[in-house]
Amino acid sequence: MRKKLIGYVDAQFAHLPKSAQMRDLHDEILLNTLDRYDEEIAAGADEESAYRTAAESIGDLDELIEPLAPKNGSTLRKVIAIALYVCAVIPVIAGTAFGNTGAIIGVCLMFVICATATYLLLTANTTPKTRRLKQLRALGIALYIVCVVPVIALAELLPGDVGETLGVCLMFLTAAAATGLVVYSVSNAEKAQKAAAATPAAEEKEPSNAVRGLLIAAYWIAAAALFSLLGNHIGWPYAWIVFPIAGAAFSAISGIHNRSVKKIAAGLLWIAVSVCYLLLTVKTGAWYATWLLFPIGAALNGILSGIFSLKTGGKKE
Amino acid sequence: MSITADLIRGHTETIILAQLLQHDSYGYEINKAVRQISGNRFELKEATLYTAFKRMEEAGQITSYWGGELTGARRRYYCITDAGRKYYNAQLALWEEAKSILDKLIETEG
Repeated sequence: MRKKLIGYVDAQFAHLPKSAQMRDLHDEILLNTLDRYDEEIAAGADEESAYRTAAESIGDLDELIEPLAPKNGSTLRKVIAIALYVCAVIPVIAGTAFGNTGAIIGVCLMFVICATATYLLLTANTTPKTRRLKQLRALGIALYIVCVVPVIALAELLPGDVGETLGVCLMFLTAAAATGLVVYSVSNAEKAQKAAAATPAAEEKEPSNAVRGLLIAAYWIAAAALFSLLGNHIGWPYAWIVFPIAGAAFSAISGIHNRSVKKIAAGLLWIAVSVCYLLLTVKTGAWYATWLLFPIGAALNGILSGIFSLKTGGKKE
Repeated sequence: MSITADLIRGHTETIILAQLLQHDSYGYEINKAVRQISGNRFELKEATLYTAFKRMEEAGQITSYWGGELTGARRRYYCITDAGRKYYNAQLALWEEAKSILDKLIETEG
């Protein structure tokens, strides 16, 4: 049981910065927790309840770093991200001056800039606990955005079908990597949430987790299949929209599962944005402008979550 | 209980300083004393305790040093400073005042 307690303390520190100061703190809190356990045992408690009392006496260690951590550069990140979104069209406009190839390079740069901006925006608000998972998820989403780049670039740069085929293959690989990252981060975030909600002693295994994992995997494989099907019919440059839609639908479904109206609303919003984007792009062909729908969607999402937090805040009072 | 705990937690630093006024001490000993004095009705979480230490050290109310090698475990001892004593006295006076006002406001006669 002491070993289990040591493991528990280690786990509480796992996501905290590894400074010398933090190591000292870890050692001392570990010592205190073990002393507390021994004290409970000496007072006649059974091992299980002594473990629980000792583990609960630790509290939330994020308190130790919270005052300085979350705001670190979060505003700066948002400002840079928005500036990048705005500037993303510059390479397109500049590239057009150098003919077709220039325009293609410009478009590719635009996607890369948008992906960078999206990454910055999605990782702007993180706490030490959620940072790694949020970074992975943001990286996945950024990869979705850049996955069209090889298709556009290689089709232009390499002669004939070779470039196109290679580009599509690369796009598939990128999208697969992105899917892997998003699925991993989403399923781990849910796990972490559950672990935080459960009492330290209740580390029971959950059979439904494996089933859920399989369902999630099947869902994304279906999305990838739909993507390749659509790619053949309406063209690859449009088919990737399947992934943002699938991601939004995933969020909505998990919202239904968790009874979170906010998640459902956000999911529906992103589905609407993606569909609007697709329709507008196909109709007008102005894909260099229609992507603006996504930053607009992000702004709407911000407003939405603001309204929700106002509502829940109001209920509490 | 939770309202009481919240009310007490607002005075974490004063509680710690009250212990350090008597003698230099380390985290576990301070928390054990808090538990015993409150009759096991209140205790500080480790996270709260060490966050308070950090804040108070930065504010110059306490200093710390390594000690306790005799027992085999390395403990960081905390020591109250003059600024800490001043802060404690000010907080104590504020609490006395708040308590007397609250007593009058909440308690009914008879």
